[in-house]
Amino acid sequence: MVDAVSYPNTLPRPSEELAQLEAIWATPGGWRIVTDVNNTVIGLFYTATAVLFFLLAGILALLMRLQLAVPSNTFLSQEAYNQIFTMHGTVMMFLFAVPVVEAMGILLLPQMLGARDLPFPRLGAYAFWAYLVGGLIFFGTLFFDLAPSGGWFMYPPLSSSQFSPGPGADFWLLGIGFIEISAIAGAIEIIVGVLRTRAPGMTLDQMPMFAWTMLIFAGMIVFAFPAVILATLLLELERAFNWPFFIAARGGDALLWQHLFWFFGHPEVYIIFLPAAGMVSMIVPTMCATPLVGYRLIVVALIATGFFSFGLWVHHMFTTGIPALSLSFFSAASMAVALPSGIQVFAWIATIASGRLRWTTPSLFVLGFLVIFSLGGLTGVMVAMVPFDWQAHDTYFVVAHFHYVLVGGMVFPLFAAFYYWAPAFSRLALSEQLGKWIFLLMFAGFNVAFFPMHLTGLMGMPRRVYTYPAVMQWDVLNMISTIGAFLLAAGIAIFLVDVVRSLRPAMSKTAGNVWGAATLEWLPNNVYGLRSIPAVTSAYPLWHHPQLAKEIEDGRHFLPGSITGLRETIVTSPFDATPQYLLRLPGPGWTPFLAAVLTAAFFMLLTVKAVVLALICGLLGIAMTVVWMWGSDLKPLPPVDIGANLKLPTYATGSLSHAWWAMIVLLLVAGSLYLSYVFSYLYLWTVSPQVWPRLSALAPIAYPIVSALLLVLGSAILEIARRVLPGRSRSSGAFVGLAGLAAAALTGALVIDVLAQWRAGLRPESDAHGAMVYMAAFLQGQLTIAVLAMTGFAIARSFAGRLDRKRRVAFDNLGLLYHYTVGQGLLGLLLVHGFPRLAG
Amino acid sequence: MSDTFKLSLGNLLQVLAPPLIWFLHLTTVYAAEALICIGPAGAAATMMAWTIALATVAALTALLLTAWTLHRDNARHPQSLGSSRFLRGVSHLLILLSLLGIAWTILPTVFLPTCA
Amino acid sequence: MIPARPCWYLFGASMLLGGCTSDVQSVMNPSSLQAVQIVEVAWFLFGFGTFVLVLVIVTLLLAIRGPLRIRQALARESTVIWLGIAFPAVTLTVLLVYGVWVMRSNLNLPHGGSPVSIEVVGEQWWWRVLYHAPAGPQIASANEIRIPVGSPVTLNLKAADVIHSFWVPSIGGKVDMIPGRTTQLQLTVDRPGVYRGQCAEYCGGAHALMAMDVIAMSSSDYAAWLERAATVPATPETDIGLHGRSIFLAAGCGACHTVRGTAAAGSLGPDLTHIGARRSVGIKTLPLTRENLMRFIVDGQHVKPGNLMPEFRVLQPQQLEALASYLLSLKAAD
Repeated sequence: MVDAVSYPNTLPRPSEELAQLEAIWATPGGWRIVTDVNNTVIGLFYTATAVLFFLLAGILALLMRLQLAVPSNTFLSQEAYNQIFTMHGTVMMFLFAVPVVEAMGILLLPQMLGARDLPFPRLGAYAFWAYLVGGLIFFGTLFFDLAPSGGWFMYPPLSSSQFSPGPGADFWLLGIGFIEISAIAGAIEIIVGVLRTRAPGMTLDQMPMFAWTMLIFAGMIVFAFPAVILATLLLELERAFNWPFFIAARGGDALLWQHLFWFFGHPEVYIIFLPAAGMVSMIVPTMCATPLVGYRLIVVALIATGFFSFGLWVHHMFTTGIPALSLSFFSAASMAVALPSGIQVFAWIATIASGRLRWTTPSLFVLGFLVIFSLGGLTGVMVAMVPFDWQAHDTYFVVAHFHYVLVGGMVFPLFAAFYYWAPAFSRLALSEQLGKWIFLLMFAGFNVAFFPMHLTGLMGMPRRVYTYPAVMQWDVLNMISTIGAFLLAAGIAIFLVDVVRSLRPAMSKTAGNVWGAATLEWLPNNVYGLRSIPAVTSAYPLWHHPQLAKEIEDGRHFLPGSITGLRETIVTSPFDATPQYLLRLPGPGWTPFLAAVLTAAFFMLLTVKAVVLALICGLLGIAMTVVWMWGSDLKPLPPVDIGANLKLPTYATGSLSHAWWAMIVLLLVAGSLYLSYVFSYLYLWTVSPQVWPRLSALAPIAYPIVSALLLVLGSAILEIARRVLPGRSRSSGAFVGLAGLAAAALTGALVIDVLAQWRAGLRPESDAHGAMVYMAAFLQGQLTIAVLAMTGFAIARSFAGRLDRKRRVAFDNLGLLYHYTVGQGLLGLLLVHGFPRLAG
Repeated sequence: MSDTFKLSLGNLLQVLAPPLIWFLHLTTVYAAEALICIGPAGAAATMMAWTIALATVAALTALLLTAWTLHRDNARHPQSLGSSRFLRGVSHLLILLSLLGIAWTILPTVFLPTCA
Repeated sequence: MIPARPCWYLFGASMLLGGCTSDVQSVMNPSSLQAVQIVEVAWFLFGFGTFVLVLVIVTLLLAIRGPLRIRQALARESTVIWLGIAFPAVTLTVLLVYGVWVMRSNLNLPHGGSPVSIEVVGEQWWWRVLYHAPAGPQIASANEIRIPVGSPVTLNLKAADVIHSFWVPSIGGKVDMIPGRTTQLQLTVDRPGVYRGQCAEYCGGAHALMAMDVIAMSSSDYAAWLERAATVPATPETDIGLHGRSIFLAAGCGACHTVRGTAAAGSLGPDLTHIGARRSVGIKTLPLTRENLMRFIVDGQHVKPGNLMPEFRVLQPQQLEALASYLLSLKAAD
């Protein structure tokens, strides 16, 4: 696309171009920084917050280690310990591991991909603020003795209202549900960002490996998180309204939770691990000054991990009395998921062999990762062996195993990443001398703390015990573990000292490419990313094109300034990264911040049963979102020239539009949530067919037929509405009428279905079948409300002249959601009315 | 939708198909075991054997079909570079891994009785 | 009955666990056919794991500072395929077949004949044990399970409230106890002895204290014990015992506890018919002595926080003394 002599743009650049670019992207000063939405600012905040939660949960770990250091200790009470271990696991998994990876993605991806920002900056800001506020409140419950104490996987019936009557479990359910939603918002941002905002020419085989891992990470979130969102919904409905999903006496089943939770929980481990592996795949080539060996093999490994990890959930249920053959299927799947890890480990070793490893702090952390993670992987193979797991399950052997996998597989690469990328975002690099000490302390401390736990586990120590009697003779090993934990903590404390001493976050004039790395984030960057965006022709552009930095600074490449006077980035095609249109991005604004705070307030007030206040906050939050969305979908402008006579449109609809992609991802989330529901319905039937009604007790078939007809009719009406979108010669009248009618049809179908079930005498509290039937209506109702809101929004925009035949993304997205909702509704009718007829 | 977009979509499906086939095969045999074991004990072993055989044949056929489309595309677009070619290579290897995964899934059925 | 154990594994055991090994509740000190089988798997896995870990570390060291020829060989993509795909594919296949084969031989272990069947119910936070003798009354006990050695025993596991997990490491793997379901554990213990176990699935509150003993006895001893356990304890002969019984009945203990042969027929808490013959009080938290019994009655929330029994602090010292005497007298006449 660009040969060596001709550049997209000529020199000299107009003198005011750079100043204008800087003014447009300027970070708001002072406390107004909370209004900023730029990925670098949000990414730094996000990472810092995640590290804060890492430290907090780490302190909880130290408290636990103190309690267990000696037998029959009374340092912590039983209840305090139970709350603390629940919070340690929950905070580490939900408030540290997933967010920190997402944070690193938001911080690094645009720079790495040559974009100015991610495609939905305000969504990213919203996800961050929601996480910060929700996370702090959730952690704060610990200080008021309101924290959950049911363990991080919250098994019912222990977490039911009968056995956990306090608000602790509600905090967990609503808090975690809320943080999951924030994670999904981030995932949408990352998927669309990686697929649509890469530099021109950056084909999939030239994409930095970290971007590949983030793409798969986000894809896995889309399919894994809905299962646990559904589980938390079911349990909260059971706790609040007595719908018996998990109560055996009324046809529910405690194991349903385990299936749903681990369908999320096992992929979760790889969701955390893959991006860390991506960081390693970035660091190793730089430290060895050689391209990654087996790029394609690693991509294969990543995709295989993404899928195989979804076939392992029963792996956590080997002791629940499931038939041996079923267990062995999952034992086999556990073996399958070991393969991709093997590929990656040996690909990194091959890369090290093909170059010359420099002894830097990031290198040390990577080596530590390789050793610790390998051991964790091997104990993983051990617990995948069913008979061995019957002994090891729920003991300290497993505690050791998953800390080797998670700390080895994620925390060590993360520290490598902190040391590696700090110069790209700070005026000073972190200290290499201190870094090596930190590594030594952390590596030694980790192994001293966790290796003995394999032995305590084999000696019969179960996990989650707040104390043990001296007669068990577990005291020596536990004391060693405690000493190790404090060594590890000392390493992290010195890291904080290093951060305070050296880290000077900056948007420009950073320490820069101190490692001689080859990817775009090491070019001179500013808050707007690169001054001008190069066409990429290699996976290691800085090695192949040494003068790139200067050319980019001079503005020789694409989009050297702002053409429209707004923040902009180039949207490219998802596979071969051909430039498609110029996306105008929003600047700072209060709405994401306020909407996030209000949503957090809504969830937390609901938990303490302040319903009125919660509703007020919820409505205000929605109002903020409407204000925010009102300003999006900007008016199309004439095509612009970004350089090399490349004329790009400034507006796109249909599958070309980034918003369409985001909606498709959101629908995938909704779809996997609904599939989890269908699974749950059928699963409970296999457990308790006796609570499924006889034919005579079912609602008459006429009702679902009318509902189904209304749904199909609604879809047809909406398609007609599409054809009468307001235009130059047409007013909005017909469109408004038809869109309103379509929304009414959707609502009508739902109301009729609920009435039919109610009149047939079905009640959600009576048994698991009733609860499941009303659950279908609940899920359909959620979407119907969203469709109603979006219809109202589209109608308002059509009145305001912000929606017409050309400027129509708001309607396109409504259409996608509407048709999906109809599809889901039809499937739901088929299930709740058809299945009992088939099975009865 | 442009032609290149459709071609890319085809590439995407080729990449996703092999591990998806593995996943569907696994969940099918698992669900079959769960369902068959609820029913009468006498017929369980035979029904299970047939289910596993059918599911495996279906999975293998689907994998073969994917491989065939890869060869067809390679023949049709021998010059294609960049993402398409890369993804076809990825798909090839994923077919191999998925085959191994399916082999591992059915291996235990040789040794273990149904529903025990 | 006891299979010969390869001496390398005893040697390995002492190497690995040397110095800090504890047999109180150890997986590595098996006393049943099932547990022995698992220990063999475990040693196989430890050997396999050590081998692969050493392989990875040696390869890594060679990649960093090995001779040039080796480094060039390691840097090839084909090496990644051999070491990263082919090698794991073969070794994991072996492992999988081995694991499945062990599961099959576990299923094939003897459990026919005249199986002893005992019901164990997990409750927050103790174990209810029910012996369904073919004839005679149902015998209930708590936190102590007596089984015969040498013949297959079936434990039917249930849960009364939340999920628990039955785990006595020396005699077998764990099996969860799930409300609404009955799970089973098959055991053939090969040596008489007392084996400690504890709940392995977090069940809230005092989960850490939910321990128990399995007491394996020769089959003749077991039969004799079962016969004694079916009897009703004799009426106390001493005044203090009689006094204790009246306190027991007047204080409302019978609302939750059963003592066969008296009006006390509650079923919320452990059956106390033969408590005098048990080894501990307050689920394994305290050995059964007069002092500990009295302590549990007045100060139970400190011994086992969160347990359902109210603290009977209203009892006068001599009343408490009498109550303890009565309870300790509750055992079958020899």
